[in-house]
Amino acid sequence: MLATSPTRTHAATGLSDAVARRIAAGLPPAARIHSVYRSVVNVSIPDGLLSVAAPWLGGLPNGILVDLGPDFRALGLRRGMGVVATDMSVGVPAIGLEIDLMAAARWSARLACPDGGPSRAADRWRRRRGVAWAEARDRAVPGGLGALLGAGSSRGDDPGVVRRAGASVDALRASLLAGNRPAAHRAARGLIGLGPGLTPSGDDVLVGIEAALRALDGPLAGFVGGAIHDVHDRTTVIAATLLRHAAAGEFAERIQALLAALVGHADEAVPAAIQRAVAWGATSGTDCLLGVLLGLDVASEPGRRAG
Amino acid sequence: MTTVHARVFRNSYRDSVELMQIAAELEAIAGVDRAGLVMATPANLEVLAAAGLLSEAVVGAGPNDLVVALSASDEDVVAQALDRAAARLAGSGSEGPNEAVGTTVRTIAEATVELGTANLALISTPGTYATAEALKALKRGLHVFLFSDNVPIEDEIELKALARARGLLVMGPDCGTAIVDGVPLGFANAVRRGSIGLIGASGTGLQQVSCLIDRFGAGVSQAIGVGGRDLDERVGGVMMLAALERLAADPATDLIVLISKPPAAAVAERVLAAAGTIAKPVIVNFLGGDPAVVTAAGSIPAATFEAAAAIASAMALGRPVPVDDSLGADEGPGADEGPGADTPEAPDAAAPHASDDAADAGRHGAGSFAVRQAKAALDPGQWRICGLYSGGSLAGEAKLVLRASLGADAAKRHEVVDLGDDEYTVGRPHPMIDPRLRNEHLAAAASDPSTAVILLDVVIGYGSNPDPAGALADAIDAARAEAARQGRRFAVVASVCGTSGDPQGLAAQEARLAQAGVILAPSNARAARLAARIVAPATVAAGVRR
Amino acid sequence: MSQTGTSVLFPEGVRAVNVGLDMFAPPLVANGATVANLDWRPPAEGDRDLGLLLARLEDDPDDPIGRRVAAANASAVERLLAAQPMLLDVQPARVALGLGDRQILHAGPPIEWDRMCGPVRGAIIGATLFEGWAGTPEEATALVESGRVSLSPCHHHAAVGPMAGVISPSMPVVVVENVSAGTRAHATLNEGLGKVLRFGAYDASVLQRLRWFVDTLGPALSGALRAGGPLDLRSLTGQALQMGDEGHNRNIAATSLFARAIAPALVRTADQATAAAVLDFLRSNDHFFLNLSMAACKSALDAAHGIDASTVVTAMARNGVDFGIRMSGTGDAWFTTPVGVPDGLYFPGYSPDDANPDLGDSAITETFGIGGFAMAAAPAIVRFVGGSPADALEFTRLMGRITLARNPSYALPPLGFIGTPTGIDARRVVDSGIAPVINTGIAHRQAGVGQIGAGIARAPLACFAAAIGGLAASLGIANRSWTGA
Repeated sequence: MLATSPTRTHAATGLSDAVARRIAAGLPPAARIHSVYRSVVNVSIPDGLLSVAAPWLGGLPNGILVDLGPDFRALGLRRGMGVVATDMSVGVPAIGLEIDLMAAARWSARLACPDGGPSRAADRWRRRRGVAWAEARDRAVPGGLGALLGAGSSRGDDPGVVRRAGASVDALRASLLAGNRPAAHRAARGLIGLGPGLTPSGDDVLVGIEAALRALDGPLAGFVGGAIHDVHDRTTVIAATLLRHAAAGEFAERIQALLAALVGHADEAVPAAIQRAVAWGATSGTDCLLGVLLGLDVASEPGRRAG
Repeated sequence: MTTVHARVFRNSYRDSVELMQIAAELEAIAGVDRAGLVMATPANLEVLAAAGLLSEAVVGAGPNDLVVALSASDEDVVAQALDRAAARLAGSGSEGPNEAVGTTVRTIAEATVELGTANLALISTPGTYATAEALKALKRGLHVFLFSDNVPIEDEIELKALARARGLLVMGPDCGTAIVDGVPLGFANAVRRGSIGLIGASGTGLQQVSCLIDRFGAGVSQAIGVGGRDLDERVGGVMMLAALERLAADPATDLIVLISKPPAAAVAERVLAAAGTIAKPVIVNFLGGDPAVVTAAGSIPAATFEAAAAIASAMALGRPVPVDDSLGADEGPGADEGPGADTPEAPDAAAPHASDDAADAGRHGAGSFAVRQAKAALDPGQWRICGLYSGGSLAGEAKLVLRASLGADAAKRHEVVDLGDDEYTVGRPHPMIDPRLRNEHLAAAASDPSTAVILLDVVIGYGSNPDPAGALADAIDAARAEAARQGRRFAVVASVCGTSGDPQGLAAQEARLAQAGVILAPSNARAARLAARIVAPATVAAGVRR
Repeated sequence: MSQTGTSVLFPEGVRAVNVGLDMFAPPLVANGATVANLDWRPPAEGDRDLGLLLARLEDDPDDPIGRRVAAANASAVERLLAAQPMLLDVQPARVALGLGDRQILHAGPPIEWDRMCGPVRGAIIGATLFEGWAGTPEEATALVESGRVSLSPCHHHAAVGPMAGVISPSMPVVVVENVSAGTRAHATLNEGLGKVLRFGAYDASVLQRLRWFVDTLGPALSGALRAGGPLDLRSLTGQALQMGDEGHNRNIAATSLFARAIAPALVRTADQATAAAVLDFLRSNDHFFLNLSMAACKSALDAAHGIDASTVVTAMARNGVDFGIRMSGTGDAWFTTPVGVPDGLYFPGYSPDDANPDLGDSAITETFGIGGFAMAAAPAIVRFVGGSPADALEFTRLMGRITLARNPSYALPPLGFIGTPTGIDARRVVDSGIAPVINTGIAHRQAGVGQIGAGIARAPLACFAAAIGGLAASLGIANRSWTGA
């Protein structure tokens, strides 16, 4: 006389290619809940984190998008609970939660080539970079590296972090422009794990720079790959996961959208895109935006192809 | 002597805003010099070292561990601050609230045990869950005040049928206000107690009538909201009928006022028939309904909230009952100097409204002087009334008054919007709580060159914004400045729905608006009529004198 | 002015429950009303339909269903509180349970061999070897896989077993009768810690101990009980709760009381060597009484089972894969959900990664209101989860919020001698989201390694929600189908 209690099944709405591949390969038995936030549940797998996120967060390179209600913390998920997967679903047996992946839209975390090619896009960026930097300065939120946008220091910024980040960013910019890969790696390693929060500010900046360099085919695009061999010892597992995706050329939908607006055809799209960018996370949005702007500048530096 | 200490929280994940807040809290403790909360990445540990915040406690911490590092004047302060940090980090975070140890009650079943005898449930959960909570309350013999909206109508029918069978009231769903035995529920005002019983299917309508009764010097025995759909054909007015029975039997209630939009004909017939059998006078305000039907059924019709309050107050105070011509055509300048014209002589509260003195033109009084002055300031291109309302029923009353004052065709050119409607409040707080939505509309209306008058309601009382007039006044100042830059002036007409006992204070709110040059009326109906007179061509206004 | 006292609405004054926005409460209080503010959250974990069914199952003298449920629960509680479990005898399962050849019982809700966890499989192989149905573990596995050994839950045979809970025909079982209702329940004899069958071990030492149970311990206890007369387990448990036991994870007081009670008859009926060996075994096994406690609880709960429309939970059990409950008013149906690893303290060298998901029928003790529900009696237990003695009291108070009665036979000194919370009402669990707490041992996921820790588990809410849905369906008020069998 066996009866199985009803499992709560939620249909995922989105899924990145990278995650789809990962799940198709089978999750290891050690997949466990890592952390639970209002809109995100992270699952630890041996090489990083899988994020189950609310659809409004947009595509994540390591993410499944699904609406699990207004507060994921109310589901009864606990750190350490086992997570099982088939190619069609992901579930947490302990609370009878199942996420159906059948109908999820597959989404590519790989950057698209900008319209008209990188060099036209770089021309457009040169034209509007002043506006974009000014907008970013006005919108920067306190607590991260907004000061490096020229926003001035705010209450909540850690002057020690800002100073170190500033030095590393300067060194990174110079080494990228000079095409000096070892120096770029060294400077990048100064940023990894630097700053407060789940994804330390320095990591967000690196992801932003990498995305911009790849979009405009800039110098040393892909440099992040050489700086992260020991990333799990140097930053949080969340940040490490996103850096590894960045090294593989995979970025969150919001970063793709930001880049598309910054180097796209419509001048008027820029302020709104920047406003959306800084709204991301606590300080991550501002920090990542800083990286994107820096990366676009480096990639569109007039003399750089000669160097 | 500064001492440095740190504590490590393993596998703790907080966002940086939370960490910043905690750091700021720690730095606010007297004796704490600096505080840093970071994940123990090598880079962050170097920053801590450079800041002189590194201590041996951090040895062994890794990138997925949270470090709280402090420098402070002495050991006691350090211990205190670290405990505070630990408490804050334990208080929230990735694992949600710690429910293992909870002494607060979670269910109606438990609460009724705690209260001994409970007799009322106030339910304001999301609508999806409200039906179940209301059912549980009714089954335990509790009356229900159901503030929640988005309750399916089938559920409302079931709940009200059950309540009817049990001799209980379901006030709602989507019921904003009630006053039971002098106790305000939801959005309600501090109204004087008295002998008038109110039953309303309209939230701000019930508030407006009860506040005006207070202003006219009378008082309220009970104000029972029944929810906006109670007089729908499917619900059949079952709660209005139940409340009517209650008040008919209530020795403290001498007369009864019913307030609603016009109900379905069959429902109106049933309600009016029931009212006709009661030995107490029943005043019926079916906003926009046909007064003849009411009269034929033996009750007293009132066309506006103000008229309903005026008639009821006069009867309760033993004064001559005024003729309800509140929706009569405008009598022109000078005829409408104050409440005395078509309402009972209101004692204390009426005094400030009656004056037509230039010195008082900014306050009530709103008589010909204020109207003349406002008219004179308008350019020929300014002709539009823009009503921006937070109360739906008040917006409805304003439309009705404009139609009566200006004629149906002319009234169509003007605009009265209910900003509390779902259409505007999706994802935003209700304008009675948060003024920003209306302020945005106000700025837009002010920059429209055709705007002549901005017409507003200001609802105060329990649950409302703590200073709605203040928030509005600032927005009005800004809007006037912008219009002035474009070489225009416009008039602002408003009424405050509230009483002197309300937390915000009626007089204080009116004074703040007056200071911003707002033309104040003692009631919403009257505010709408003033607005109409400001835009009405002088000849027309003079011509329809009866 | 209207006067309180003559009010047509609230003659006793306004006494309100505030469900939802906290901001509505202060104006009531300021105007003289009494208000209880709920820490409200959506019932049934946000399942609207189930939340509504729950409301329809509320006690209600004026509603046919509410009346039935209330009466059924009152009757169930009455039977629980009246229960008087007596230990009558110790007999082989073949005799006491009528177990036939190649029939093995296991813990928890029903489960097929293919899905069983390591410890249960190990114990079944061990029992097959012990009974001589196979000569080697490989042969035993092949025999079971061939389907020629019948496997079913202890609960289906008036029995309960801790951890793997495996019972085979030769094993001696305790015979407990709830004399107020005539219900009997059975459990094996507790083997102690270390390498034991209930954790899936089956080496020579394990089988040797079991043979000693068959040849010596079982007959000796049987002889003593027959000579000394039945033993009142209710009063024994009541005393133990006042001595720091909670009847599940701490049984040292009850085991000592048992030894004291049985010793005189034992030395009179058994030879000296046997009596010495039995008493020595009891001295070395602090958990001996656990199995008696479980059988006592089972005999009491079975008396309250099968009452039409009752929402009283009559069994909670785990098989290391699923957690399952039975409810009085839903007959033989199990409502199951996958089970997790308990939260607890691990013996040195072990971590949650080594743990088997929660296992055993021992949650029958919590179902009857002792164990985790009586944590106030045994504050030491909360140390398994890093709690304080105050937390122990709080756990018991919390369980009081999901139960229908207090059992006066089991008074709790730290709580002013009020009784243990008894009669879990599935409605209260689903409505409040307060999950029953279960004190439990933690087994290694590999057969035979044994116990690696102890801790506290919370029963998954989903089982209770499903049971409510199942009952509503059987009463004809469900608007969607609920799995139940």
